[in-house]
Amino acid sequence: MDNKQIIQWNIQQSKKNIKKNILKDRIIIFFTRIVEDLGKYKNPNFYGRLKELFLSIYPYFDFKDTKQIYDHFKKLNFKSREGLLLDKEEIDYVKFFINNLDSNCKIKDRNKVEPKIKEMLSLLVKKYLPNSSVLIEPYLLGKIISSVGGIKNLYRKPSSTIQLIGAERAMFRHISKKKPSPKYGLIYYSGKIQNAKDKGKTSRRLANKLILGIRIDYFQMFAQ
Amino acid sequence: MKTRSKSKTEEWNPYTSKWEAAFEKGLDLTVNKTDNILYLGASSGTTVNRVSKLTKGIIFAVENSPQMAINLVRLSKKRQNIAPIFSDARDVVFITKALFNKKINILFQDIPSRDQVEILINASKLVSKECRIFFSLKTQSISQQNPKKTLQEVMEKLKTCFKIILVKNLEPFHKKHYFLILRGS
Repeated sequence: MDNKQIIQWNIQQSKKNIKKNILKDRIIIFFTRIVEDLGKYKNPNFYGRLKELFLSIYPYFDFKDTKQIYDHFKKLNFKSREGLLLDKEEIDYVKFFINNLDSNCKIKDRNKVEPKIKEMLSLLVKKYLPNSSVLIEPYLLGKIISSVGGIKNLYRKPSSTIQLIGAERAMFRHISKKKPSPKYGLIYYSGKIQNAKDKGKTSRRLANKLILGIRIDYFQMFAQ
Repeated sequence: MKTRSKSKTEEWNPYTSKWEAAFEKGLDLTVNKTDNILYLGASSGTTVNRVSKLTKGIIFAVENSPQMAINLVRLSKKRQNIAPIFSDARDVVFITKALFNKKINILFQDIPSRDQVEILINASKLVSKECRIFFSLKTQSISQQNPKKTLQEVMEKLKTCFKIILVKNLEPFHKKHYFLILRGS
């Protein structure tokens, strides 16, 4: 074969295989990060978040200015061959979010929009993670996934790591300076631990159950 | 997904690239004009971009992470002689399919993981005996002990399959890294 043909074959093959590896958890991460931003800041803008989502739908798209992204989304028809493919529901969710932005990518009417986004997020998490979202609040589960960077990184981890996600600083302080070890990370904010008497024990139990649920969900919903 | 400035990607810099650091140390890394290169662990392709200017042959760049592989595919549009391969470097069957029996002159491996040596030995089936092998070793990812000790252990493993020509540490540029030049025996 010719050199050019070999390169073309490799590019097409790797594009095909990359598409399989862009999973639906990206849309969950997108909405959790928006909710997180709204909790942290007074009136944030969403150029960066929109860019993340756009590049997971069209990974090989080049645009010169990040501020064009808002205009791109208005024209978008969400039918890509190379990246993430969204359902009808998910397209509606994204369109609802974009329609409530002004031209500076800030949310217009925050009191109306914020509870709706939270509702959309919990519906999405319950759709894709039906088993593990029973054990823990959907928003917390999304937070755990987004802090690790994806469901594919999460399902391989042992349960003791799940227990301590978000408490890395305390863990390393324990290793290096021999301070007392942390018992819970992000899981701490779930209702089960808040109401429990012995919080260390329940957090361990919850993490043990949670990792089983996450593994079942991954192999049912995400793996091909 | 940051858009880097031009000078950062185009210029050689020993602090960002192990190839350049080894070159700065005085190792012989000459690339002929028609060489085909197999590059394992290409990441987003900073070094691949620089090396691709030296040859007219193909550079096969293997990368496992999807987000980095997207950057590689983008890069292959700019440079005409890069062939991105999205696969695990341990998966020899798929890579042989992607190579189309091209003769490879240089094999470069830079995968900082625990079974780094086994990957190299496994991948050496892909190349002929005359192929030069460049191997950048990160001792910290193999074990936390004294780096000289790990280097000795690695050398004993490598001696069963290769002829070791040169060993050098990349000290001021990359800490606890070694660069080895090998040849099949």
